[in-house]
Amino acid sequence: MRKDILIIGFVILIIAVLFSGTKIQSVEDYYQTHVDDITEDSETIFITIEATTILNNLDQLDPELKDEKYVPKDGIILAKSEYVLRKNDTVFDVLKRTTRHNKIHLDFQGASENSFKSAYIKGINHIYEYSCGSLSGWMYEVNNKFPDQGLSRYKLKDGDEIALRYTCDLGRDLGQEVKEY
Amino acid sequence: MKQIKRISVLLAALMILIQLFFSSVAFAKDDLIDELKEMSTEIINWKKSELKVSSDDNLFNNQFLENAGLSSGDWFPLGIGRLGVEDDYDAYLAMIDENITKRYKSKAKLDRVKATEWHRVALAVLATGGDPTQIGSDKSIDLIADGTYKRSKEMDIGAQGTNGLSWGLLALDSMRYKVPKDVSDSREDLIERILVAQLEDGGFSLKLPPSEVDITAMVLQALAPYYNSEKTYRYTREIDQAKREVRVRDVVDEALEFLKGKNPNNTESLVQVIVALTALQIDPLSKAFIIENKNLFELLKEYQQADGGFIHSDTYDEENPTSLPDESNSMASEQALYGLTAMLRYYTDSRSLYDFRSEKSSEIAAQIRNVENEIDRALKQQDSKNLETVYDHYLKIPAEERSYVSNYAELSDALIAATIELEIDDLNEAMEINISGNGSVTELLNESNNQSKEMLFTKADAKRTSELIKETSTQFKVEVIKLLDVLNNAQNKTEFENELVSLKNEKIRIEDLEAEIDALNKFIMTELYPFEAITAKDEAVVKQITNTYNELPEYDQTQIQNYEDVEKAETQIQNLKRAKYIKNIGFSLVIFLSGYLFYRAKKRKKEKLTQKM
Repeated sequence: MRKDILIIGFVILIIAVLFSGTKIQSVEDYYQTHVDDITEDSETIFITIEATTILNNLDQLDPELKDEKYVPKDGIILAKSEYVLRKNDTVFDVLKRTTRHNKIHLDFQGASENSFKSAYIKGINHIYEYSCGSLSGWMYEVNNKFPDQGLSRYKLKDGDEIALRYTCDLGRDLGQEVKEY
Repeated sequence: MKQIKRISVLLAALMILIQLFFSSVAFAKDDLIDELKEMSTEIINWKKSELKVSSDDNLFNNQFLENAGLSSGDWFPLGIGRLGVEDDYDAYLAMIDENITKRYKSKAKLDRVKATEWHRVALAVLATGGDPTQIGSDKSIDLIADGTYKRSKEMDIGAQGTNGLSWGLLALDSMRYKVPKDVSDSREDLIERILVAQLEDGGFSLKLPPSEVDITAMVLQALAPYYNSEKTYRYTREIDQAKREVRVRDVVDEALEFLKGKNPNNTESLVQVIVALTALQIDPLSKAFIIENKNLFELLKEYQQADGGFIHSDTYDEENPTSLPDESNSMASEQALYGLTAMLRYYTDSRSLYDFRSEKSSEIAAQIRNVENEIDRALKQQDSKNLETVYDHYLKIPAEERSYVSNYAELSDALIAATIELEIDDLNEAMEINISGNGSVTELLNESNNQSKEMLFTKADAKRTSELIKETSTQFKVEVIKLLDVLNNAQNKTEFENELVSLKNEKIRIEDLEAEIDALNKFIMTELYPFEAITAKDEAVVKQITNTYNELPEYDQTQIQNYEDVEKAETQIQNLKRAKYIKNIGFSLVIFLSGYLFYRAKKRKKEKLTQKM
């Protein structure tokens, strides 16, 4: 009789384990698959990708891009999202990760392929430099400021807010003056 | 007698003084030329040290050549080619053929919007002695046509603003290319579109005010060959709807007024102004362009660093964020190099930076100098008959060379003042000279005549070929293309037929490998994300990815982007699978144990029954 009780207890235990969904994996595996999970201790950043300036300049937009697939109705390509900040992450690292994870197209020139010694963003979501007039292109912002460094040189810290913004007027429509070479 | 003697002594002294003066002028010029050469060499050596190349070796090493056809790979070839410095031009041109052919396979070809991609590559090809009208593995690509008068089939050449127009005009004029009739964006169209885009202060910008020094200077570089043209353009200026009736010269003069006294405080803009002045046959050291007591060359020199390279600016510049104030920078250095080259070309009476025709004959050069001297003298004398004679001499210069007469504008003014009728020479027609042909490379830095160097495929080349075909990897792409190019042009080509076949096949294999890498990158992108949605069902997909990945050569594995995500997916799937096994085992155990319990209970019941019985 005692044996029966033991078995019943064991069965209940197994059922409990199965339903609680506990995964059995090694520490490394756990770390690898959860590296981007946000926990209480993780350092995080926020990222937004938007092209709202295009909405005011639709007449200038490349006809091939006149589709909500490329320019969403509200101009927001990626609404403000929180992501884990990994050690030594630059703006470029975070941008690459977040666009991949959200299946957003990203076209860039690697730091070795241009004279800036920094990666250079050519297009996001198929919207490119000059896609919306001769003064248009991508700019980036950290904590509401346009940094004076290339985005693969800008190291991020906990809580930074990044925004990739599309300008149709050399940044003037974003409250900034920039010049290209 | 004494008097006469004294006079003659005085005269002699005067003569000596005059001679001294002129020779010191000549001396100063030689010193300047030496300084320009020295600085150019320093920049090239700086870039070599950046690439970890010894100063005796070619700058165009395999790493550099990978970027042939990109903005980081074309400006040094332009500077070096226009200086005529010895380097591996053939390898550069072979890589251009390769890379441009590859990019032409995409829908946008070199770029969807930027016509300047075509222009930059075309100019660099000319500088290194190639022919931009015959590019690619089968020489079927015409960068000039596609980048200018055929461009409107894909996109407006002005989609980038003024830049597309001025560089387009520069490209058309680089070899004085013939433009077919009835095309859009002909020479005349481009000139007029540029004039229309002028801003009210005389300068230019990409589109809207304010005028920018560098953009204005680039426009002047493009308009320079038309400075001596008497043709009048009637148009409405876009910015203020002003009705204008002017020559190119008038617009250029207004733009020059805008530039005077403006210190852009950075290397690149200074260089653009210097290139513009030399194209207009104006001495960059001229007093008119002194800023804060320094001439443009003195200002430029301040940006050179001890390592030979140039910085963008000596202060942090928010407009050019990647340049640090104390670190030599590739863009500033490559532009400084071609700026110095433009000066060297000006002081050695060579063709201007973007005029790639073969150098002027000494007769033409002398004829131009004579006319310039005659104009100077005639203007002093104010004799209208003399003016007419000088004008006749000017017209005897072939029309396509008249843009090199530096003081024609003053003669023109004097002729108009003297109401002498000017011949409305259409210099624009004289621009239509060539259909194709190689740009000319002239040794300006060192005197050497390596023109008729024998091209041979060596035993070492053959040995390297046999090594290369053993392991296919994109890592060796540049090397394979270089060897193939050497062999194709080698005098002893026939001795290496096997190597030729091997190299051709190897090239195809590498291109296939590149396609495979691209496909894998794309496949990962479409199949692997969003990561949360990965389930055990995706095992086959992930397996396919890892199998393809593992088959790649080690170097090419690094070309797969974010492979860590694939590994992550693999682990995820393993975990999911393991969880499933555990679940299954757990369930089986539960069922088994329940069955066992049931059996035991039944058994006990039976026992009880038998006991009762």
